Amino acid sequence: MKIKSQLLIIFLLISLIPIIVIYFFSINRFQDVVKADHGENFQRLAEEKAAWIDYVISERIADAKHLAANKELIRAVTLANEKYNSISNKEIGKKIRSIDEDWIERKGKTKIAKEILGSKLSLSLRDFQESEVEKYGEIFVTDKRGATVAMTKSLTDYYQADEGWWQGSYFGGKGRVFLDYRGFDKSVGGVSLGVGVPVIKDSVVIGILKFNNRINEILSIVGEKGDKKSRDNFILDTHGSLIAFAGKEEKFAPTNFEKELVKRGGSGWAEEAHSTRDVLLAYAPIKSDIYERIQSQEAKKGISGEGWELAKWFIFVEVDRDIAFAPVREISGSIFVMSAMMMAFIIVLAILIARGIARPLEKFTKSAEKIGRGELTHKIEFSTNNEWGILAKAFNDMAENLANTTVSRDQLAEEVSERKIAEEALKIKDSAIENSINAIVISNIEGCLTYVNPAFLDMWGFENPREVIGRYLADLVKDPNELSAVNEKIELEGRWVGELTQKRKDGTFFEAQLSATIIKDKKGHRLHQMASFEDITSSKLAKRALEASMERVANAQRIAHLGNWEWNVKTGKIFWSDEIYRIFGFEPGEFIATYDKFLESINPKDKERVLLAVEGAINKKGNYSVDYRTRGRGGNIRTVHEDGRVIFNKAGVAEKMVGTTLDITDRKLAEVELRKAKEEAERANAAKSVFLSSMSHEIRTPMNAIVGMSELLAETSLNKDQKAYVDTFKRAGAVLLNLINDILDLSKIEAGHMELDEVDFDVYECANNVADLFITIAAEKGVRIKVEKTKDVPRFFRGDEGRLGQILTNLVGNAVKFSKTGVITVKVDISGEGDFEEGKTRLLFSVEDNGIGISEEKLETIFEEFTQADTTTTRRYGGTGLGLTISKKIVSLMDGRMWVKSRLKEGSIFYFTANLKASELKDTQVLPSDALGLSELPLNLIGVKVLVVDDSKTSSTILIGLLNGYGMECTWATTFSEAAWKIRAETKKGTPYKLFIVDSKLAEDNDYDVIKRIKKDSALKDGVIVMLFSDSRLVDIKSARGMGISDYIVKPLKKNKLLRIVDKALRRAGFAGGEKPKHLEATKNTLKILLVDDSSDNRFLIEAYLKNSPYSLEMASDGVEALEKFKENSFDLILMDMEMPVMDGYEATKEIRLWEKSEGLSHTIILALTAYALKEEAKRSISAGCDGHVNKPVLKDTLISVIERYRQGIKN
Amino acid sequence: MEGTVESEGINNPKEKVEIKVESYLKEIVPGYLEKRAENVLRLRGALEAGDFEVVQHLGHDMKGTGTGYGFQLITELGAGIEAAGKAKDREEGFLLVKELEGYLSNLELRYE
Repeated sequence: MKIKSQLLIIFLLISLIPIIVIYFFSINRFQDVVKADHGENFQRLAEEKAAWIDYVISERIADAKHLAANKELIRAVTLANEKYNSISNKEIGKKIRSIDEDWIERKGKTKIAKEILGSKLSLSLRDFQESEVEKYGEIFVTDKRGATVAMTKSLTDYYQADEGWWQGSYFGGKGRVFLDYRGFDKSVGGVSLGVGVPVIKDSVVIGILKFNNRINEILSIVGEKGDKKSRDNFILDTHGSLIAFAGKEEKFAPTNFEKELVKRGGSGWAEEAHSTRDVLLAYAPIKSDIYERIQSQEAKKGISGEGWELAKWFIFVEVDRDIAFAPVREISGSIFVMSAMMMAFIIVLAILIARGIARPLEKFTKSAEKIGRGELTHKIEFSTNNEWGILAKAFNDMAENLANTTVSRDQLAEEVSERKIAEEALKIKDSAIENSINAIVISNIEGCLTYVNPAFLDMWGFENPREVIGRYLADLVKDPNELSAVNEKIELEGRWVGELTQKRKDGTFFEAQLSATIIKDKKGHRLHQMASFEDITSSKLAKRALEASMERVANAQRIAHLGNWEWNVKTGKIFWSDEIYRIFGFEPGEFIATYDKFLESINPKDKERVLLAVEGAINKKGNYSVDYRTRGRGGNIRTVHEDGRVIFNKAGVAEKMVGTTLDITDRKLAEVELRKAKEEAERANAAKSVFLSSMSHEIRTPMNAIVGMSELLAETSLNKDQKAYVDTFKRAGAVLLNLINDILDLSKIEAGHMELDEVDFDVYECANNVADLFITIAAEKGVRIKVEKTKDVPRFFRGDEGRLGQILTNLVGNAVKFSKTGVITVKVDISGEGDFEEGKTRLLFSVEDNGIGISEEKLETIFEEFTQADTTTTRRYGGTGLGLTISKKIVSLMDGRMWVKSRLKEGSIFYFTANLKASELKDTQVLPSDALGLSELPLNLIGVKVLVVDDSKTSSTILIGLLNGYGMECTWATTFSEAAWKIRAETKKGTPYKLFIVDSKLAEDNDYDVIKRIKKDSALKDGVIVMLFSDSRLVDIKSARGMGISDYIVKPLKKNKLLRIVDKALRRAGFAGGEKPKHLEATKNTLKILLVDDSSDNRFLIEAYLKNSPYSLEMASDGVEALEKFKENSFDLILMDMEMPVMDGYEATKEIRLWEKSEGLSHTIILALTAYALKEEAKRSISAGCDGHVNKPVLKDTLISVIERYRQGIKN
Repeated sequence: MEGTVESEGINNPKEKVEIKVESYLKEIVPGYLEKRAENVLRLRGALEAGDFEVVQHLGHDMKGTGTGYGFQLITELGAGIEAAGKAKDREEGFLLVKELEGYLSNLELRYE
């Protein structure tokens, strides 16, 4: 802390603390004095007021006494007393009470009252009262018995001796003055103080005179000298009751403290804290004895009259403490102001003193600092002669002495310094020459060397200067004649710069850059010659290397027809490599390239485009690439590709542009050729596709007839040979049809015409349906097919179920075809590959077999068209070799890929992925087509009415033939008008058609009239429309569905396919089944059926169902019994309940399959019986080895249809 | 469940339920129905004893056979009884058995 601040603080502390202490002490003291003074003054005031009130009361008493001594009054009273002398005391009492009662009852309006009021004495008293009306409210007189003798106004009663004041005055006949205070008195018209005095005659009390005084005067004394704003004056009696009050409070109530003071008695002063304010009060007693009417205990209990009690009055003078102490506040304010002023004065004084000390100190400090910095001539200015002045003088003397000694030392240093600098400069020069990279030599005028630097020794290969000093420069060059010529030039021009070949000590040569000068004296005489050499051998070599490199670049550019350029945007200067000149049709270096020249070189048709590219690159701060044609000298127009890059400075302004220009004329020509070739190839391919598809179409038409008719023919009664022939051409037809279908699919995919359907479908059902297709064929080979479910894969997706099924059919079909034993596993899982798409799932399907496998070298080609793993394969296993190709292409359409892992003789796994949309259906929901829960079984179609609308007789014949086979009632219409007519007729009959199969070509030709008509007709709202296409290329699924068409069939018509589509379409429309079969078709092929069921009810029932059938039935009540019977007999079909005691159906089926295998028996059809089977249970039964299942409770028709369906298989 | 019971009107003893039975089942239907009447007693006993396995088993049998004999409701009640047995719901079991009893006693068969 600075001295100045410290001084300031000390001064302030010393002066301020006493001031503050004195201030508070004096204020307190003053307050005490004021308080005592006020208290005593107020006490005096209270005592004065009390004395005054006593005086007023005594005056009234005196007045009363004076009147009581009046002779007239005494006489009148005497007379009144004498009136009763003749009557006994008892009678007197009675009479007086009688008069009193009458008086009270008539409210003083009796005769006697009037007489008294009109008596002389009464008139006199009234005169007296009215003369002092301010003092006296009422005056009356009684006789010695208390009976009223005279009165100034009518009294309320006649008899007064029963009242306290009367008894107090009468005082047992002794008589005395009796003051009574009764608060507000109606008869007086204000607060009243009664004065009762005895009327005495001959020292005997003969009556009582009563003055009821108005005490306004007393009240005014209370208030007198009281300032309403500052003081409260009041009278309290000894009971603490407030008698009178004069002050500022509206609702004054005495405090307990004040009541307590009254009880103590005497006079005094005190301080009191009221609830709202603090006061200073003084009090003094009034001496007069005043009686106050009190309610006696009896009176309180309501038994009898009133009592009187002596009460002392006290007068209080009370003032607010704030007001009392106002002078104290005033004085304390003044003291405060004075103290503050004194403090301010002290602070100023302290500051001045501190500054007086601190300033010279600062001055000395600054001066010392200056001298410290070397300003030795500095002097302190101090004019005073005090201690500061003496100190300043001593300081200045000291500085002066210091200055004198310091100056001489600087001069010395300066001289030393100059000498040192000169020596240093000389050393630097020496060092520079000695350390110079260049060789430096000094020779005399004759050329004899006098000095060489170390670089010279290095350059020429000498080790010691002595080796060369004294030798001539001519000895050290390759050609002394050349040196002579140089010397002549030096002689002439004074200096020479050039290249000269030098000769080293070892005789080798090197190129050196030489600069030589003549050193002259001041008079211009030549003294020496100095030369500096720089070895330029390496830079010469580098230059030659650069030239070679540039030549190579130039050659490369020439060969590649690629030139580079650089354009300085600011200066407009352009550099062109030689090749650029050539590309633009000029000779290299024919002119200096400029930007204008560049623009001229561009073909006018392309110029604008090039400029836009260049400007774009500059504006967008990027690169540009542009192809354009040159103007071409002599018609030699070239096409070039130019890449440019703009180089910007730090400010972002384009500085220059660099780039390359490539002659692509030849490449362009080649591209055109290539495009032409590609278009040619595409045309050829398209032609091939058209050819294939039209060929297929042409084949398909007769095929329709062949296949359809063979299906029909197979339904007729044929002998064994005939059946074999029909089967052969059915098979051949099927092979041909497959081939055509595959070719069509392929051409459709290649032509980009294949569109995928998008419907909700159950992915497991799709896989299971495929597995079901092959289950019988596989079982015959001893191969099992299982579909494995993966937990996380949802059931439902949106996509093309048919195409997915086609891929799986191909893969499972191949697996069955190429397997002899084992299990084929179809798995569905989530694929981890590919990009995730919102709302889509990429599924991974795999089909694994234990078949013949594929060799490594064939793995790559199996997806190619018309390729199978082995040429022998086709012969042995059949197939077109298109299946995998088509499958792979469909997979691509599903945004997936297909691949295979395989080992020869061990088996193959085919994988494929498909990106499918998520379905809104939940796993627990069922597809509309599944709603019946009997989807595994074909619908009963007997009696279902069908209208076939087709103009082709062959097609219609086959169609109707096949449908009739299912018991359907078919009608044929060749035209749309005929169809409309038939629809109308049948609807009218109340037997509307249920199913419409419409030829697509005919429908198209007629603008789909019939379809619109069917859709409009409410009677046909449940009708199902199936469209018949002759060519799959024509199928437009989306439009067909949009029109309300349920499904479609592509010709040729095959029985199974037709049934499947009709069944599916009818199910979708909510159709549950046709009429019950009227009779069971008798058949010669009796089947042996084994029924295994633990429920006798079921056994009886099925027995009843099959009673009249051509089937023979045997029964077993559990798995063990079934197995025994199976081992002993052969059966065509087993109906197996799955839930049984002892051995259940699953176990029994497995055992049967094992037995068949071990004994080499053929596959027996086993149908599972399950009660309201869940799909999982159905699958479980299939896994156990069952061929199908029937839901319990099983109905007769269903059972017979199922048995019939399998009977066909068994027969075949 | 109260809705189903009342709406079917099975509890009403006066209301006869006519069922058409295929004539080829004539021989086995009476035996079947006798067994069901017997089942009512067995079911009651099993429900009393808390033997829900038996309840489930009997329900399952009825579910699998009722419709085949021409009694759709026996299949439905069987399914209900099987479910009640599975859930060990005695109260529901008794209600269904009562319904079955009512149905059986009100049956009137007509062979076709």
